[in-house]
Amino acid sequence: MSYIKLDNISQVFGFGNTTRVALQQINLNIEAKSFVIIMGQSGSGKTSLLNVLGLIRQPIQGVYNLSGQAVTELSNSARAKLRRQKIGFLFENFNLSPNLNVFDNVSLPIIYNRPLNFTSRSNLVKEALNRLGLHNKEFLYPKQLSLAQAQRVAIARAIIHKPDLIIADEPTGRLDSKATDMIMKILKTLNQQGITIIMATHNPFLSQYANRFVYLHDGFLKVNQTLQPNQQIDITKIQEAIQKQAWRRKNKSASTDQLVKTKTGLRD
Amino acid sequence: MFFKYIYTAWQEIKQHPSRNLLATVEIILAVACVILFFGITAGIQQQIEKNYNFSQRIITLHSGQSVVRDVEGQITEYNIAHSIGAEPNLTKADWQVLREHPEIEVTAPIVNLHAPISNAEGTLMGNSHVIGTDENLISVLGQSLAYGNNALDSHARTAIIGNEVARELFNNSQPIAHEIKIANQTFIVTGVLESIDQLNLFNLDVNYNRSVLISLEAVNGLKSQPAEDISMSKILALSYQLPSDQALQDIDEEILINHNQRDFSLYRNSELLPLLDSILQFLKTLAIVLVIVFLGVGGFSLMIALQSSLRQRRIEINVRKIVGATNFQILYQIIIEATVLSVLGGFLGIILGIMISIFISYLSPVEIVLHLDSLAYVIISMPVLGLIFGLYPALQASSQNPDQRIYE
Repeated sequence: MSYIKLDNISQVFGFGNTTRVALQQINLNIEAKSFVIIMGQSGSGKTSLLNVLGLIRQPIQGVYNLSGQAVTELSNSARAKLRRQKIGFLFENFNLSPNLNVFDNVSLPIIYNRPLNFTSRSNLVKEALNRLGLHNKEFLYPKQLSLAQAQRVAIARAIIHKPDLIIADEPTGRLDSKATDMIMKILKTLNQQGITIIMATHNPFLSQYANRFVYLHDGFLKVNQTLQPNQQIDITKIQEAIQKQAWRRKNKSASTDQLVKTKTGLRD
Repeated sequence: MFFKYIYTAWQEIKQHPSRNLLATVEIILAVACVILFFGITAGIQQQIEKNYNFSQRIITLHSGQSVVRDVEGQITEYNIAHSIGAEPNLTKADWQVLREHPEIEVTAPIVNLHAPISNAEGTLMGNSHVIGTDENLISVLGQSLAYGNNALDSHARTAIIGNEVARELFNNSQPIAHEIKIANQTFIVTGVLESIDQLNLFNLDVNYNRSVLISLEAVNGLKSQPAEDISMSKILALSYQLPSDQALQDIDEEILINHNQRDFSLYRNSELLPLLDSILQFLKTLAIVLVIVFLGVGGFSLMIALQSSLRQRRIEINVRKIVGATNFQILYQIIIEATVLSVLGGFLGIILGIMISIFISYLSPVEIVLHLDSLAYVIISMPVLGLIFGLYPALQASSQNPDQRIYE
């Protein structure tokens, strides 16, 4: 049984003349302990898909099963409870509260999760920070950290409550290559320790860390394939293929469609 | 969780002290006004009560009709301006009426004179009074001498001076037997008055601390008037017990015969107290209304400032919601922040109010009493204020969808 199962998921924003379809009939199965890279151009629906997977937004259509539990119809508070128990989040801008020090930022998920005394909370925070090589930085503020350190603090916040799933939206978007490499290795390690990671990115080089690749285009899931270890995706080819498919569809050329699909693994 | 939220609120205040201080400035001023208003009214009430027991036995007769009575004889109106500004028209005959009444123990006439007062070296005393009276005035007022003797000799020109006169003209040195000049005429100081509580509302027309008491005859000399023509502005009479209605009526009739018209006022000082009480109640009510208005404005400004702060912290709130905070938990947190801010403003307001009260008490004769009631009102109302005015911004912030803003 899949850890994550999306059945015919659609998402729409706005209404009337401003309606925008963000996701269109997405069907996706993700096994536990997978490392999934989601790519696509801007506006392709990556963030919307992450919002649905992270229980931040309810889709307007379809069924979402997380770890065998149907979560589509849950109330806001039930989803919030699931998020703080099972899901960790990473963002491109780290989204650390500037008013709180590292200790308080990292302990945010467990404040809402279950009542803990200061000692227990402190131990969990220190454990999370030590895992990421950030010991002795509990009392610094985000503005006193480098970008890589800030993202590591964000990772500590994402894992402190021992989630099964991490949703990461462009976690390396603001980092240089060295820092990117460090963060990706940390995520890979977490994945090897059993955490399912779903990450959106524009950087095709990061696909070498993943074992699953998903490509979205205009809200449709166009590519969903398993990756070999250290396999890199050639994104240009995929984009070209999509363009050709669109052109062919417009001109209704079936044979070329079939050829393109065979070559690239594209789906309708 | 509750203490964690208080800690978070404190962190936010520490990070932006000027913004949060501005948010609470109205509350600080409002609370300071609460402390001050209640302190002033409590102080006035205390001073009235302090003088009440003694003043019950005093009858005042003064020139000018400043008291209006109803058909039952109750005072319905007291025009203090008339009592201060009236032309002196009380005569020795009026004084005689009071002195001879069986219920009256002692009397003291008062003639006000404006004349320059200076010491032997010529140092002038500003803002001072000369009062022609007799030695009974001090006992009628219920006061005493700091030192010297209570002798106002009509032949030898002696004077009793107020304690501020002693301080200003004699630099706190012993003024007894020293010279003092009134309108360039020399008098000898025989006594110095103890400091007199000037907010005794029966002494509003004269500041005895800045006065020089001389005999009636000496006043005549200064005015170059014959003794028979002397006109007094006020005569105080101390009765043996509470003056009866009959006594007052008798005196009133005799004075009316002397004057042929009602151009004078006669009353027991205790009759003014209910009137003053109603004025005090009015002041208290006014103070409460003003305080409610101030606190309302303070709460409103807190709400606006909180809204602005929350707009700037929308990413933080979104992150909290994403990591698992429910709408209620966000609402709870923000209300606690608002409450912490208003309690902090209240605390600073109490300190400011106490400092202003001490400052005013030091500089003026107004005695300000720090009322525990006002502190209790503040302590109870501050959290309520935070709760009420923090609710709307908290509802706004807690209801926003997290995903729409998270990536800004």
